[in-house]
Amino acid sequence: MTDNTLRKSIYLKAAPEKVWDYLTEPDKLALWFHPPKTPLAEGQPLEMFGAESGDKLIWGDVRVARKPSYLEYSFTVKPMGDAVSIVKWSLDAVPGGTRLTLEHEGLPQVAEAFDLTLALDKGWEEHMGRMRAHLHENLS
Amino acid sequence: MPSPAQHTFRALADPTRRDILKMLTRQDMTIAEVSDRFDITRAAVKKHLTVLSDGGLITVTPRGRERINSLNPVGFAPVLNWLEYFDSFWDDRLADLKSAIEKDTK
Repeated sequence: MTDNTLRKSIYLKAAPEKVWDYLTEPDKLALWFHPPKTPLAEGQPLEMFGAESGDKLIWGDVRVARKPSYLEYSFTVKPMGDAVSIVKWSLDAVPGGTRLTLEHEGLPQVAEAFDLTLALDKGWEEHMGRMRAHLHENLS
Repeated sequence: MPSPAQHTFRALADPTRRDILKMLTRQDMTIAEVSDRFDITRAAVKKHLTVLSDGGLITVTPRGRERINSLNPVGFAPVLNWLEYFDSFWDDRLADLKSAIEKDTK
């Protein structure tokens, strides 16, 4: 895996200003993601909580909030340990709505996130190789 | 209803369980053998092994009166890397965003 970045684009039948609210306002985020306690704002910490459990599930910092075109935050989820990734949202006005592009950068390999690469011997490498082979078989 | 990957993440989330997995990469072990290496009770070890087994990370095979715990490499596939995990995570979230916005527009 050389490129640890995910990219996705969707078209939405709504103006960028409205899409922006869905990316930053707690009541709108609650409809499709996890709600923060306050609207996302540049320089502020990002904290999102589980709708049912109330546990803090996702955290980071809002690095850039350029309404209504660009939002960027660091993004850590609970099981990822200390690994920090970056989520970038770009909103482009297009006829009839908005093209929303998501980039999620810096995703670690699971074994790294769980500290499983430390102190692992060759046996583990072999296991990882077999896992990969199996996974790729299933996907192809 | 948690997905199988969530059980796997839960199993991996605990440092003792990760240590147990590391030991099992070298050899299969009984519950007694695992608990000999840790300063925790046999009951606690048994609980950890159950979580690992629920997460699909180990298999447990009865041998006589003992139960042999072995690593199940295939079980790591759901969490092999975060790219695959977030790929479907964002697909689901973006689909929800699209339907929420379109409901709002009507």
